[in-house]
Amino acid sequence: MPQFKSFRSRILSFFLGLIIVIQVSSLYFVDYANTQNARVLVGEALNATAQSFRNQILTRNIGLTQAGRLLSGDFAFKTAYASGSTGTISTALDNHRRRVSANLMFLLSIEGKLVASSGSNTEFFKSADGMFYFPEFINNAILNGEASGLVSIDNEIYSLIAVPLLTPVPTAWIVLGFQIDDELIKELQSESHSHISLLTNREGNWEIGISTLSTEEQKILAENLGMKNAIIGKTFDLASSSATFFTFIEALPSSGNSSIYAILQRNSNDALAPYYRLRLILIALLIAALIISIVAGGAIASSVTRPVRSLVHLAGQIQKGEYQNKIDLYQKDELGQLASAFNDMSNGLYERDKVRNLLGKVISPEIAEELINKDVKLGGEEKEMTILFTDLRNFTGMSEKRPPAEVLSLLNEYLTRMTGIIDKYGGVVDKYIGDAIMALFGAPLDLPEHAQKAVRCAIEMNTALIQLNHDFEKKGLPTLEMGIGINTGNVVVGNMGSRDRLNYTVIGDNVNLAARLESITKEYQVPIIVSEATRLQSGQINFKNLGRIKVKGKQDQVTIYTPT
Amino acid sequence: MTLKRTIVIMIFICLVDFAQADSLSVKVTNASGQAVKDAIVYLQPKSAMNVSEVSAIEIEQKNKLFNPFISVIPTGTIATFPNHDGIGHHVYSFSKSKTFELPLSEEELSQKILFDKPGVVTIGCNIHDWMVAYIYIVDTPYFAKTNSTGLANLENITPGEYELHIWHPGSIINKDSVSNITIAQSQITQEAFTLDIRPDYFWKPAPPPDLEQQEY
Repeated sequence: MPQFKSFRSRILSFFLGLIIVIQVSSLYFVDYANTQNARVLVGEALNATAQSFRNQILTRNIGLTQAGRLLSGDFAFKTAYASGSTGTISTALDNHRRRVSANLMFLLSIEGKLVASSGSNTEFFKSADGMFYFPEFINNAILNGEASGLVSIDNEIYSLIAVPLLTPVPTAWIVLGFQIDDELIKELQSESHSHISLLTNREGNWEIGISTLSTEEQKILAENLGMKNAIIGKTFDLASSSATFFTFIEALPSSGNSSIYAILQRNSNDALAPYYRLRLILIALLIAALIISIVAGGAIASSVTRPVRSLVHLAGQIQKGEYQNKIDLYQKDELGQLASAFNDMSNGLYERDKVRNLLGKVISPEIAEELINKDVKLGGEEKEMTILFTDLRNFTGMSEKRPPAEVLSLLNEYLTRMTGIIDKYGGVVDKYIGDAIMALFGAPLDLPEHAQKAVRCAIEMNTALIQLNHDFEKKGLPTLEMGIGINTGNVVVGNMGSRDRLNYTVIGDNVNLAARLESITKEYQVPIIVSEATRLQSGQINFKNLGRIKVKGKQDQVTIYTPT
Repeated sequence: MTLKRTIVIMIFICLVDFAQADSLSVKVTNASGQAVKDAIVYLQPKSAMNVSEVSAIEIEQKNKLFNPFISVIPTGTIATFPNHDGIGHHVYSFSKSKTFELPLSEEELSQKILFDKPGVVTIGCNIHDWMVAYIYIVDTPYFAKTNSTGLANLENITPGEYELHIWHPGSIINKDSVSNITIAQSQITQEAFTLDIRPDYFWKPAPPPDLEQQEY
């Protein structure tokens, strides 16, 4: 099977192929049946013509025989014959030949000696020994009392009959005959629309006696017949110079030294002309059916593939995240259902993306991803990570003196800047609590060197705040003071809250310690305080020991540091 | 010519112990061995001989047939052709021995015809094609016609040299079969001949089927 690029061309190819196969095979079989039918009809017509020709000869022979019988009983003729006078006999023959409208008349002795003759070219009928030229014919007469049949001399064909002259017993043969001439066969040709040729076959050699064919075609016919006398009574094809002839051979009653056949032929093109017209009509119908099939098939295929292509286009848009387009297909079939399902799917995807975007804004994208990709359920796991808290000192007091919009703008600018730095170091903002930020390093995604990264993040946040304060000063805005507390340790991380509403967050003493460290930065007059645990995992960063403090929830005192 | 067939003639001469008379018995059969009826057998003397005295025969026309079909008569015989049918017949002969014509007549008595030349006279009726009769005129006192067993007997023959003639209207040779024979005193000579006979229509045309067949 060839691979089709489109469904439409596959449908078209299939139906066109089907139509061509059906039409061409029906054309072939109709054509075949018609040709065979024509062959049979022409064969029957040729056969009928042959029989008609044969009957014409037989009828005329019967007429001549009856005339001959009357003559053989004619007393005056007997008297003339008995006179023995050659002149009397000859004139009597002439007289009687005219009476019965025969071309030829002979009087032969019982043994076949030519006694007298009347008509044209009668000298050809006399052998050198004075006998009649056709001993076979005379033998037939002796055997049967009478004889009739066709004979040929020099390819001229005659029909002869013989009856005995009774005086009162047979004493001579009266032979009457006529030549089968052009006039006779041309008449038959005009009646039957067939070519007629009379041929003699002497020891297998065909010779044309008389024919309505052209001289050239006569020659070809005689050459091509070959051993065709084996198929007498059947129609067969015989090629000629100009055309193929449907040919029928009829053996004629011959009574001489050679067999005589009538060959009837009809030009196959003439005979098949009506069928050729029918074939042309069928071919025209085939072409028309093909064109209609191409147009209609194309239209039907388009009606199927157009919505499919629309769906493909829409799917491409959906892939790019463009959900605003819808497919309009008011069909109740499978394609209509598919289009409707596609629209629903597009809506669904649009809703999901909207939720996802919103979620990413409300919570950190990493947490949002964690929530979306994992089953959202209550509960959590214990995990080591670093927790970073920031808070602005005296922000509450300052915000009371300023318009809320300006405060919110200031806060947003600060939070945006700080959040960017947290993102940069692989931290995740867990939540904003007013002006405070709670960030996680190592959750929800594992983060190698989370403590060191959290400390470096804090240092950069502090530097960034200094720059931010410069900007604020230029704008005439109040400057901010920030404290950062960092602790590293095991915490419980997970979803907390009620079944319907929950938070992804961390809890535990280590979280509280980080918050506590942030709150004491003000006392120690340093921007950043980290715990012993954080310092131990912070590699190359230098710290200054700030001493030991007692922390709620911890029995031992905790050593605190600030990066230098 | 296929007509020319060999004529087989077998001659058996049997000498009988005691002389009864000087006689000749001839048996004629056809090619298939069947007896040939109505064959004329006669002895032609090689020296001049007196023929029997003048006699007369009748060939009657009855039931549209001639009867007898074949007659053998010595020269000088007078024949009459009485018509018993009550319809006209037109009796004729184109034979060389006697050409004559008795024009259409319903008369019972016809004129007398003298047959004075030896030979065959074939008689027909111009209006009834199948009516055929043969008269064979011989110049000898010794003649006979074969019976239904194909036998013909000649008796009281003067001993001497003769030509034995056999003739039949259907004989394929269309003339007499002739052989020399010596008749010795006080002997019965027996001979047998085979003749090839042509189909009937050549010499005995079939009457129309509706005509009552009459035995000759």
